[in-house]
Amino acid sequence: MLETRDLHKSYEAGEARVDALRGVTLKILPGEIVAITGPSGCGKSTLLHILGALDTPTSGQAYLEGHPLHSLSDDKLTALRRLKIGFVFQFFHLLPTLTVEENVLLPLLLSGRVNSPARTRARELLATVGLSDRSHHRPHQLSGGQLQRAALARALIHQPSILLADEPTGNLDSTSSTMVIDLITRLARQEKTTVVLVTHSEEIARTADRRIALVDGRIQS
Amino acid sequence: MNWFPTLRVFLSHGGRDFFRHKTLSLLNLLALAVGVAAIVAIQTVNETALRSFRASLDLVAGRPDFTIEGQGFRLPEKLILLLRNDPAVREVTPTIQLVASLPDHPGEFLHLVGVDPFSNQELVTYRLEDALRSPTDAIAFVSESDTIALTRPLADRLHLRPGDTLRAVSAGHQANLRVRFMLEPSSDLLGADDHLAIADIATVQSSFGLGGQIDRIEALLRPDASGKITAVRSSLLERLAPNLPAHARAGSPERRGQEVEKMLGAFQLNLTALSLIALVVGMFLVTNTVAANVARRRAELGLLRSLGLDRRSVIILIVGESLLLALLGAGLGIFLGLQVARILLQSVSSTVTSHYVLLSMKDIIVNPWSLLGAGLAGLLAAGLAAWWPAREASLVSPMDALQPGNSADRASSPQSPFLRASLLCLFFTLLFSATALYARIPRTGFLAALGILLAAAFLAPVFGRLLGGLPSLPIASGKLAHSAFLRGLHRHGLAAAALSVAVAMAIGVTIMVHSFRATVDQWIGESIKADLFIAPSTNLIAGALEPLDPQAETLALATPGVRAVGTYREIRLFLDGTPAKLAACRLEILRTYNPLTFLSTLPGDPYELCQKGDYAIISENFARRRQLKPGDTVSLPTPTGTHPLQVAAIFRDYTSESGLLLLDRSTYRRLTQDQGLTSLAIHLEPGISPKTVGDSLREQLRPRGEFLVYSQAGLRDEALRIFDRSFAVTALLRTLAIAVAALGVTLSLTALGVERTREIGILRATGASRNQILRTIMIEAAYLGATGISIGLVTGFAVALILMQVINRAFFGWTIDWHTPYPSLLGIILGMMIACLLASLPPAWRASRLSPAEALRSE
Repeated sequence: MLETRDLHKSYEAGEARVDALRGVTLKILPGEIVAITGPSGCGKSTLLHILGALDTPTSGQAYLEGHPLHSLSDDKLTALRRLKIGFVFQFFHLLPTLTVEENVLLPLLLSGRVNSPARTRARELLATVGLSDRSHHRPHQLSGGQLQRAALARALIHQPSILLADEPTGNLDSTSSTMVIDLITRLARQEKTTVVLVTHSEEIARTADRRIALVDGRIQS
Repeated sequence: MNWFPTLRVFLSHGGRDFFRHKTLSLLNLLALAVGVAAIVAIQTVNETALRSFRASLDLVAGRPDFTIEGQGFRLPEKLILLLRNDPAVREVTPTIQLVASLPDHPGEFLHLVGVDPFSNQELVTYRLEDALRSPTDAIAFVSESDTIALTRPLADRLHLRPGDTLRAVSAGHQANLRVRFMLEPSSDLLGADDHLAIADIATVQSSFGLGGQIDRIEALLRPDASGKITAVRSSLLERLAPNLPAHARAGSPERRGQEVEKMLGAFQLNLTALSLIALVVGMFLVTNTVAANVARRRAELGLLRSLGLDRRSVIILIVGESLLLALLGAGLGIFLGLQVARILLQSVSSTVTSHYVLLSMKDIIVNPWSLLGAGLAGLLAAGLAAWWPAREASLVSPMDALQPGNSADRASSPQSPFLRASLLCLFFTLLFSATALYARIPRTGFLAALGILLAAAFLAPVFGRLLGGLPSLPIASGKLAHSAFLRGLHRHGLAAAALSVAVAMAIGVTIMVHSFRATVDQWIGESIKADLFIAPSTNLIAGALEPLDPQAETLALATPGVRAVGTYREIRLFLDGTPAKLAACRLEILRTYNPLTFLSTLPGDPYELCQKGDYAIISENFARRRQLKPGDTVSLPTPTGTHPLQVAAIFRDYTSESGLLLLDRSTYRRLTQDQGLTSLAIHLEPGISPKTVGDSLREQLRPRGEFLVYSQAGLRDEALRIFDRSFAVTALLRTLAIAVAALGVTLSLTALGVERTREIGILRATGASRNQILRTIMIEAAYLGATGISIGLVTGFAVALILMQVINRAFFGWTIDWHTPYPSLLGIILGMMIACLLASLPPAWRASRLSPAEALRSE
């Protein structure tokens, strides 16, 4: 379902050239939960961005359900993100003036699919993540753990086939971290969603079906 | 603490930030520069007008210690002896001047000054350069009765060479003048009118039928024992006073310049006030940019605070950095301002000439002090504008500042202080309106206008929030823009405030100018009934009031088809130190063919009263300025003495800013001994074609000089052309303020675009397309525009009211009927909305092109 072949990504940083990815080849199967680990600057987030159609590789190929991410136009990449991909970020990234429920509905709002069933699903998801009583609150009224659970609900609202999480517990305490990871794995299995998880944490990596370790832009194991 | 090292760190970061956000920095620079440019342009044009006038005056009159001048009417030559025989007087020299048309050079004129080359040696500020390359002396100048000296630019323009003759006409007298000398003004007389020509006083008197008459006498005095002349001048004045004619004004030569400055004061103050609006608009934008800058560099400030920087130093650093940027903006503004001044020069020159004094400005005169003043005004504006966000930044705790997250997310703008400030400004508006109208301090009228503009500005964030309470557009971009606008009110509030000030000013000025124009147009329709008008061409070209050839009246009366000929004489003078116009016409003609619109009269027929006795009809603004009503008395100084005139009636008139005193021709001639005419109004028999009679008159008058023969429609068009030209500068200043406000929209959206980079990344990651981002930002701009424009529209009506009912009444005393120019207002509203949307395009485009991955990495 997710596949890369000899993926390279380089950046120009002033006069220097940074090679973030140096020939990454991998395959992730549908429904699989994969953790990408590695030290800071090893290219984890870059790989996640390419897999999430947010960035394009300098060379090599990346496929999502057969769609060539390396050669699609911006509009097509946007359409893929809109329909097939869900994101969870380290800093939650909810829009502060929308209520929690509106934030959850955001991907559907952008694709013009907010209707009664969508609202019902949003409420169900919020109930699943334990935020029923917070649906009409604004983000600033929520704790870090609650924000990340709301972000998770947003990432799953449109039933994506792949969920990408970039250090989802990086800004949470241990109790909230455990709760969020449990939710991700439970909901992913429930909805048969493929999950790619970038993390520093050994403990979280162990919850994944498979681990991919990156070092200096290359897969180590 | 020693904050110089810290300043260095902060500035080096600031410098990098400047280059990193080039667009934002340049927009900020430009906003301030345009504000400064408006001030520089107006100050320079005003300065050029005054300096040119003074230079022309100095060139004509030299720099004497004492002058006697006939106001409105000429002086008798015998006064020279009176002055010469006084022991305090060392040297005396007379001058006479007139404006002559040049029939062989249509459109040109000669400002001819007759001097006495023997007695004015010590006073002259020019050099006569013999164009015939023979020895130059005063004898050569006077030996030939037709010799004149021309300025080199005029001689070049007219292709005149030494020995050529020049035909000049004034008041029916024609003279062939021979060009013998070139006039070289001394270097400090920059800006003197190049139409000046000098001749021997006898040449001017004999050529133009002015024997025994002079305009001015200049004298050099013997200083007293202490080497000063002030006391000598006072005692001389006391000795002379009993023997001077009533219309003679004697005293310090500076007085004339001061009077002109006073006369131009209201005109120049208007322009200065308008130019300041552009700077006020610019100030809002600087505040906005500094606030954006502070928000962006929050973490940096937090770090400096945690390392020991105190709050006061934070303020100093931010304001200092803003001042450094403002220094660049002021420099750019000065450069731009000088270019704008060059564009405005002709328009202001013509306006001043039409309404006040003859002025011919060829190039701007730059006063370094004015430039410095404008630059400092820009710096002061930037410093004041930066202070508030700097203070806000200083109040943030280092802990908060160091926390990651979008600062805009945390921004909140409580509404009540804005409402209170707005109400306070409204209170001051009313207060200053009252002081302008009732305490007779006209300048406070401008403070009233500023008050209402500031009231609108403070209302912008409050209104923005109200607007945000309305439902959003039922599309994703609409909903996102709605929430983004509400969240960005801390930034948009300032841009909307700037926009509301610019729109209010544009709408206020548009309504005022339109109403004024419509009132004048209506008045012209009611008061100009004659079929044809004749005036000397110089009066149009040079704004002069030269007498018409008396033969013109005789010719007109003898022309077939002419039923009646109305005459008009106009003199500019000072009454009780205030400028005014004295006019005379045949009231019986006026009454029959062209009755005046009286606002109040004495019992009885005002026309009859004026024809039988010493009565006058005064214009509405003359009455308002001097607080006169029918039955009151006005003293008129004339060559035959000072005459008390009773006010018979007050009438509506828009021909003079300073007010008009109208007499019947017979009374005028009896009191002044002046037989001159300024123009004729010709009424034709029914069915007679004005064109046929006009052509016939032109043909008959052609050999007698250069005349203007207008039809009724032609005169109306000419009057409205002068009106439109008078407001051309206003239109330009209005455009500048709008341009600054439009820049503000770009600035605000660019600043928010930078602050929201990460948020745009989230939206793109969540599935927003480029077009959705573009639409979102453009709809947000529409919200911003709607806020500023709505407040500006309502405030604009209030500004118009203040302009017409407070400032106009306090300064000019005219009645302006309210006429709402709906199409123009619609044009401004739509134009501003389009400007807002266009201004949002660059930041919207940039945001939509952001790489989502880059955007997400931005934090």
